[in-house]
Amino acid sequence: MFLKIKQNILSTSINFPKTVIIICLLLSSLIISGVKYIVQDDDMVRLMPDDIPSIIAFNDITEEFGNYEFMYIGIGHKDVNALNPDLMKTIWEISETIELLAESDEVISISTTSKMYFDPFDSSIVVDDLMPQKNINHNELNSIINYLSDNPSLKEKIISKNEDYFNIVIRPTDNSIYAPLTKHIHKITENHKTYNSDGEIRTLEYHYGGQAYVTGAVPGLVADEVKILVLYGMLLMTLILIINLKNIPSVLLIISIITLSLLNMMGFMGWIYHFTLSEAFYFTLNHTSMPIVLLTIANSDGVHVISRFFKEFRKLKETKSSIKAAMEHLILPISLTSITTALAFLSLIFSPLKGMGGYGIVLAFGIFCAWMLSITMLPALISIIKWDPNSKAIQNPSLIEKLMIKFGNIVTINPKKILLSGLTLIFISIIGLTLIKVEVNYIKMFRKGNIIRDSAIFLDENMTGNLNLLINVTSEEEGDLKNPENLKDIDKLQNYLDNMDVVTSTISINDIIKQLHKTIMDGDQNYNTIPNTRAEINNLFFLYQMNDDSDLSKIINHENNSTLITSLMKTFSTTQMDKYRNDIDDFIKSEFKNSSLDFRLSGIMAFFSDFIWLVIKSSAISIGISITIICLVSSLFFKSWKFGVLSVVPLISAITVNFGLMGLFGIDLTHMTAILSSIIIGVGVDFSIHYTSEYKQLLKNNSSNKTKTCIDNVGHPILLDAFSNMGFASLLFSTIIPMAQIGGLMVFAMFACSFGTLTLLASSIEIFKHKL
Amino acid sequence: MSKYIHIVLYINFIFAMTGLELANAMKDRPKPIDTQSESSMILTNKKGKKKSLKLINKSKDDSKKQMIWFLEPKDDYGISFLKIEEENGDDYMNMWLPGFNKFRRISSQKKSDSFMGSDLSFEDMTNRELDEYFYKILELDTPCNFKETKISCYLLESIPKDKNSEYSKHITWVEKENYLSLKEESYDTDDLLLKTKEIKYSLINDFYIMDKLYVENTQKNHSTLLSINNIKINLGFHDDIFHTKTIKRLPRN
Repeated sequence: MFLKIKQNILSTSINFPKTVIIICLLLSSLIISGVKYIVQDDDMVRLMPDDIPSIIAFNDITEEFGNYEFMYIGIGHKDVNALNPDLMKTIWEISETIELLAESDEVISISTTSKMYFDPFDSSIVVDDLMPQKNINHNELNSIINYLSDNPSLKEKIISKNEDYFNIVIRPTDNSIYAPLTKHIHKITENHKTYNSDGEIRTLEYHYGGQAYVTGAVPGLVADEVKILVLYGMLLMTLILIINLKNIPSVLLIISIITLSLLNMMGFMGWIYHFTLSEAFYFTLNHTSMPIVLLTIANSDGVHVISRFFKEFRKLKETKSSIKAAMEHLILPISLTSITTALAFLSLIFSPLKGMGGYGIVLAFGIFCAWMLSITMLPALISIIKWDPNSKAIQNPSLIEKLMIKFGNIVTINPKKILLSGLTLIFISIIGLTLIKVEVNYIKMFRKGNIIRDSAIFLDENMTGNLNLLINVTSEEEGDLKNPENLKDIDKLQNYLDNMDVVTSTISINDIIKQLHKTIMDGDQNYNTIPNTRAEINNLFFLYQMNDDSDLSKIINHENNSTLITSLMKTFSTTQMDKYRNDIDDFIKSEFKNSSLDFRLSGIMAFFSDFIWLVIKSSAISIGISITIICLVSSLFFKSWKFGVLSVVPLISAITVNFGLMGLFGIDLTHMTAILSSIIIGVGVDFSIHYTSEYKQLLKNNSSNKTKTCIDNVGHPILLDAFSNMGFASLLFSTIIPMAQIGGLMVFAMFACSFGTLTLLASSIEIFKHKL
Repeated sequence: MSKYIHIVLYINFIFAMTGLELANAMKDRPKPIDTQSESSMILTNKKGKKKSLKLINKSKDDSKKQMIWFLEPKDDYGISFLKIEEENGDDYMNMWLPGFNKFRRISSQKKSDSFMGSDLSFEDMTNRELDEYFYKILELDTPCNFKETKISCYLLESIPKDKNSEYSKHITWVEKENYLSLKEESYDTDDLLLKTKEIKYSLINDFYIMDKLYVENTQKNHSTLLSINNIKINLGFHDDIFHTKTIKRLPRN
């Protein structure tokens, strides 16, 4: 049946090339038109499964208290005192404009903060605006300065340590509007580039940060950079192909097939989102790697077809019979590699990371398109082009072909030595695997000089940092958080957090209660404590809720049995986050054994800590399932379990060497560099199946010197494919560190895959040839 | 024909009530000297979550003197409030906090502060003095906007003279027969709708006394339903009982 289908496809493509090309282009146009439905999103939280504790807690927090991811803007001028009426007027205007945005839920700044004090004149508690109006006089300024001096925990949230920058904290309405809100904020701040201070025009510096800002700004930044670098990668790939094939039309054919596959894949992504509306098909930061993965895999099919065609054309001198001979030889391995790779990517639906299922499905479709176009449109295009049998490209073997002839001899003569050297490298790499570090912190992914990283460093050094840890404290019983014992437990935990070196500040309901307690006791600092009786706490709540500006709904729920402790933190490596998290967990377990309170950790720090394990788990699951699928499908196609096992040898060795050397050279595993395993599997399976398929054919024909002939026949396209994919070394110039690392590792992965096939696989087959 | 219509309209215009006269008529409508009642207040937040309060109220002189005790929720039991409005506008407001065994005065400057977490501010709780507002009748005959009645109302605009007011204006639907305000819209200082109020009355001993008030803060999406029960009138309260000493203890009846 397969033979019949193969013959039908081949005869249609070669005998009716124009019809096949038109059909392919029409179908592609239809699919590509789906591009308009692509939705971009980069909320990391959406990648996380719903059932992990930090996400369950975060969803509960969001439902109860609203969005808890913030944007920060540091505004001021280095070493110039920010506490002056002119700059404060600008902060007022900026805060007021941001407050009016539909995407902003709350703005916290010097102009929106309240003060609470005891008024001895009529012995009343007053909660009033800290900044009474936009234009303040010097008396009002002094009153603000004095109030901030008396309330350092408030001060550190709204002004920098050196008092030269103000901090504006923005709470977006929800996590779907970060990108438009970021754009609006940039536009607003652009309208306030300078301010007039005592007749002198001063230029304002802006520093943006916070998880919500990074999520809003990064996708655009990454997408712009990836677009340029992938383009450079393709140009470099084209150049390498031209140098090796010495024939421009053939290179253009390969490029047109891979470009069309890429566009089909993107169109499919739009359509599938349009019809399913599933978040799994959002275009996220992870998806920026999709073009690179597909281009490397699709390139392989084209390179094999062209190389084989040239080889046949050199012998037969006639286009149609040459392409027929080439395709008859290649249709099985191309189909097999495409099916196995597509299945390997489909295995991502088992990934614990939510978006990865969509990623796998879309890439599998891209691979399917590349396969279909390579066995239909590519032969059709080749058959309508007039090839010159006397051209250099056809007549003379390329440098790689010559190299492969020599290499084939070496493997045949010294298979054991080659196998031993390969195994030594694998053994060293296994040691490296134990040293690999996982880093998923966005900030650490940018080079110094990048606006995101610089702003993050600024906020870490001068403000309250970029990260947060949310602790949701709950109790079964309504009103239990008015119990002084429970509030004192919260206080104990808050003090513990305050003493952690990475914590810059903490916020909880206790801050308000203590402040009220002090105020009601005529401002006596000794009463800056949690009252001892519930009746007192009830009265304080009552008093606070009388204030027009009071809103406790963001910090304690209506039933008074769920509240939040927010720890603001400096950026630090995700590799340390597990340790801090375990320390906090241990403290809670040991200190609150008998408490009626339940403490749940969430927020960015907890996500990162969970995300690390998810990245590792996701990579391990996808590698394990992919290799099993490839082994099974190859065994089925080759009707031999031995060939099935042999086809995954280069994959396992390339993955081990690649990740092992990452560990040895201190390259972090991130959710972006983790895609290398997909590239290695995609490309590696291609190489090994082409090799085993060729060897199986030679075995069937009972050819002599099979290993040498096999390397001679498939070594050239394998190396050409590997070299051309090294064009993605252009990614090395990316300002996004993992992207640059992917660029560098890509070169190495191509090397590992091709040499894994031509050394380890070839030498293993040569050694065990009598048992096959 | 058209000439006659114009003449009638002109005469009507000359003899029509002015805004000030209408405000005066509202103020002068018969009221009891003092009242005592039990009230329940249901506060509903933007998520639809409700909080119920129960309180006892004693007032005199059109609520210029007022005492309120909180019975529920149990967390707020015993908290009480005393208000005495002064002619000069410098009202005396004091609160008893049993948890601390302390009185705390409430600043009369912060009129926009919420009364016990409800949508009524202290300004809403204070009587409107005739000379503190500019009044204007916007419409002489407008439907009162209630489904169950087809009575017509005056539409009265009241603009506060006090720059510290939380409002820029109120628009009130005033029933024509007894000069009862049935509905009111209050606008913030940016002239945006802030609150809407709907009021219902009971006739007790020939006095129309408010027994239901629904207030909605349209900006905060928060509402308050005040229901007044067991209304007793003209009990002969002496001025002296409106004192901080009295609010320390819950009334016996």
